[in-house]
Amino acid sequence: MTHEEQIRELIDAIEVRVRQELRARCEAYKPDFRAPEVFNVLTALIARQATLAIELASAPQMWNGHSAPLFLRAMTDVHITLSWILLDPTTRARQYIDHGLGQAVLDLEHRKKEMEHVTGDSREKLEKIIAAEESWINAQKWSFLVGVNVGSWSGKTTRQMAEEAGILDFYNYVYTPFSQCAHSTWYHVGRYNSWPSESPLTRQLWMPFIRDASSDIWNLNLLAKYLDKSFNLFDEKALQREPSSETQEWLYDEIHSRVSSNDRGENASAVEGERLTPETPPESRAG
Amino acid sequence: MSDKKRDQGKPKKVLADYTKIGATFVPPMIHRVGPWEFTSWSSQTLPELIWWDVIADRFSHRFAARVAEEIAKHFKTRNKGKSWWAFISDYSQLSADDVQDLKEHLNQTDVLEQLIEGLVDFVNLYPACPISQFLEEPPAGIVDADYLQHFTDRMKELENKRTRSGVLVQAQAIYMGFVLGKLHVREGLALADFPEVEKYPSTEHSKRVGGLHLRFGQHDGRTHAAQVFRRCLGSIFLAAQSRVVSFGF
Repeated sequence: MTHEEQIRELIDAIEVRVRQELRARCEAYKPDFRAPEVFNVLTALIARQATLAIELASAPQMWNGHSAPLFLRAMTDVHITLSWILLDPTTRARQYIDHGLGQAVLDLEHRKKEMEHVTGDSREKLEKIIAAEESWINAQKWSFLVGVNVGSWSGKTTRQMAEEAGILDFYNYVYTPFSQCAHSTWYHVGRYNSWPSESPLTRQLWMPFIRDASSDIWNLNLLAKYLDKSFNLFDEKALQREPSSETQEWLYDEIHSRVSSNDRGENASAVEGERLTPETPPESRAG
Repeated sequence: MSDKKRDQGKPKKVLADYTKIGATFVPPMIHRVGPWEFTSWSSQTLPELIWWDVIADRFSHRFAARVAEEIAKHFKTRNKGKSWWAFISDYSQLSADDVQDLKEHLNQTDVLEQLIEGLVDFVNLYPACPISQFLEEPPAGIVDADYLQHFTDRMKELENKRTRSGVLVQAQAIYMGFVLGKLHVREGLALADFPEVEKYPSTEHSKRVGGLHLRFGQHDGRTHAAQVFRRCLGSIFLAAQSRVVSFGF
């Protein structure tokens, strides 16, 4: 079996496993019809977490420091959101939905404004988009009755949410470092897309480059870890049972049994956050 | 140039009609009228009235109206609070003696047997339903798959409260309000011609009568319905989950 085939089989196995774990939880969760929003939001968030895990796992070319943090940061965001909602699900699930509907109304109003300048085919397409968007909102609440909250959906910063949920370390050591990549701050760009000039004459200049970041299979270990965190939290708080998600452990064994040691990159360094001491880049390949 | 004309020339900003309070833009209707309390047709009102469609579907709208009339007549002479007896949750407040009295009245007026026959499949989907008290014995809870499918198909029509079936289940409650003497309508208003609703939606007048939007469930300002709203369809959903629900993954 070729390396590509080994990886493809591993990816397929991950997808099957994640879907099974998600389905088992959704089937076990009995909704309270006095507050359907709670079911809607909690199951949607774990489905989102599963989606992010499957999508990243399915794209080996993205298992590197340029791209994997984009997904991993989104997963940490979902986990903090889930953790905070679970502290007061009835109020906060409604709040989460209301904010989302408000954002949809804002988008709708922008598109209606755009209609003032659009003609021809583009106008027809835009009309269809507006009708579809309005219909999505109206199915939940009449759009003309929806308030538009332009602040954070929870009224708090992500840090405050993490602190209240008792996962401040997770915020500090995982969410924040991955956010550097998501927001393309110097923290990230200064490592992955810029490097001091080789020449002592121009040492003060940092040269643009695209860092060579080879695929690192151990990024899968991180996505499995965050998936476990969210599934286990759901087990404890929503299903009120012992945490039972062991995707990280399972995946570790799968990688060892399916992928040859040469291809596993045992020395690779997919860690939470950025690599603090990236290797000196090879010759600049900018431009 | 006047201010008005100058304003007309300016491009209108997005959310210009909204009022900004803190980080939130409040829609004009909410801002002018004040906070609204929403009542959901699908998750609050319909679960309370669904049993009328069950009866009408099994027999006829005429029979459903007759049951409504007899129940209303029975309670008209008894001091039983502000209930209209159209809503499922109204029946959760009855004692065993109250239920027995009601059943005796329905038996004497020759509707009880048919009523039980019409309800039995439904309460088997939802054994804890307060109207299961009409039955002689507690429902067994055995779900008939064919009936469940039929019920699900009915729900597809009832989801829209402006369909004929949707309007007629609401009409049951209005009718009971009239019989109980709890609903009074000024002469000349569309609702004063209530019997016209039977023709909905084939005549323009029936559309006006049936088109009135009433906030069921809050007719008496109590919150009792909020406690039991949604349980009915919720239980049916749970009973049906393994049969008709697909999570899509």
